[in-house]
Amino acid sequence: MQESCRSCRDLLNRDPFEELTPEERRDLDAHVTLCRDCARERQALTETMEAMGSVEEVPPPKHFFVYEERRSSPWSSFRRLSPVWQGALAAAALAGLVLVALTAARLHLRWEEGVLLASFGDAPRERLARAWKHELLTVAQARSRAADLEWMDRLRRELARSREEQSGQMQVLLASGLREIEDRVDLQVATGTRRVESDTRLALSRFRQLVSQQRKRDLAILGRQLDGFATRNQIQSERTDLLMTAIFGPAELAGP
Amino acid sequence: MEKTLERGMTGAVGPTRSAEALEREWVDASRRGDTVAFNRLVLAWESTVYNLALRMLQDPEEAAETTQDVFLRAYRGIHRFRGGARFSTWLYRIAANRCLSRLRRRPPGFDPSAVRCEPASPESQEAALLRAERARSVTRALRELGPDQRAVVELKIYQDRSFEEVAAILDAPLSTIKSRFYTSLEILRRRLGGSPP
Repeated sequence: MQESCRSCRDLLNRDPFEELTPEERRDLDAHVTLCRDCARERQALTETMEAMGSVEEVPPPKHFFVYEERRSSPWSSFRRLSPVWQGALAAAALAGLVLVALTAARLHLRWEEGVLLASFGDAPRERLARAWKHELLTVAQARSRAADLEWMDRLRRELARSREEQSGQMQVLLASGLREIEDRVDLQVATGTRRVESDTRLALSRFRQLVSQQRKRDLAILGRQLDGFATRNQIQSERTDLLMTAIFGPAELAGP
Repeated sequence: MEKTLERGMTGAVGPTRSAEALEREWVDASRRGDTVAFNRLVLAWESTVYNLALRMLQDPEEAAETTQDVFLRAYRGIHRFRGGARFSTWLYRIAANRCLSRLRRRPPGFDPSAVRCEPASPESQEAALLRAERARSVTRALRELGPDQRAVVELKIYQDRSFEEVAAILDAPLSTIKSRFYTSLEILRRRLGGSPP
């Protein structure tokens, strides 16, 4: 293929699409007039384009309209209302939201053993913690210090064992409850000890007082007994003197 | 496009307004959610898109499905169309991509039903048969092209788009588009215009 034919083929490809300048078209026409191969190529290309053009536009089988889904949104309905109604509805919605928020803050739902439990008021966890504290305090008051310590050790062990199952907040609550109980028990024990010491001191003082009084009473009785004994001895002595005098007095008078 | 848009005007527009301005107006209204305006665009472009799909897919049912899909996607995405390019370029891009996607999903050896060829004007039975036969030849020749080649041929020959527009629609370099087109043209010329000397 000659160089002129190569450039002609390029022009031929662009020719059906009106991309040639007048100069290019003149060159192409001039070349095709002289070159039979390129003339045949042009004829083939023309037939190709004619054949391609024989495929006519087919009317669509239907229209392809797009329909909007006519769903009235709450916002569009709201916007259609008058400003007075809009204000009233907004206020009502706000009040409703506040009510719902308050209700939600006091409403507690929990899942226990396959049952959904709902409660209104204090959080069940706080209530449960309070109940635990109360129960623990009641039990603690009924036990001795040693038993309390042993019992609290057991509780601590139980707490450590169930750490996996308990939520963090629950553990904190339980630990704080235990600390409070321990403090109270310590306080009670200290108070009891002080009371016992005080009672003991009082009792000893009373005992000493009693012993002292008793000793005084005993000494007084002994003194009185000794006095009586001395009096009786003196009386006896006087009687003896009188008797001796009575016996030995005449004898002395009647001596040698 | 003037001719195409005339079909969508339904006589509601005066003769002073240009087709370009009218189309821009409908596109703007569609972007604001005006379904009526969008359906005017559908009416203007449905035949073009359907025929593009029909020539590329060579299956009337699939072409109708694709056309509906194209307009639905266009409607959903019209708010993203910023008007930087022409609406037709944007629509052709959607249509070409949908057709290419369907063509690429087809199993090897897929044989679509033949394209219906209904003569646009009354003519003799002999001429109609001849035309139908040529159309069948074109259909067979087009089947020899790959999906990308078919898309280039469709846009260049049947939609009369410039190479720059075809490159923009198919999102490919200009040189690739030209090369693809001339290769396709050579295949078609061998099938439809006889062997080269």
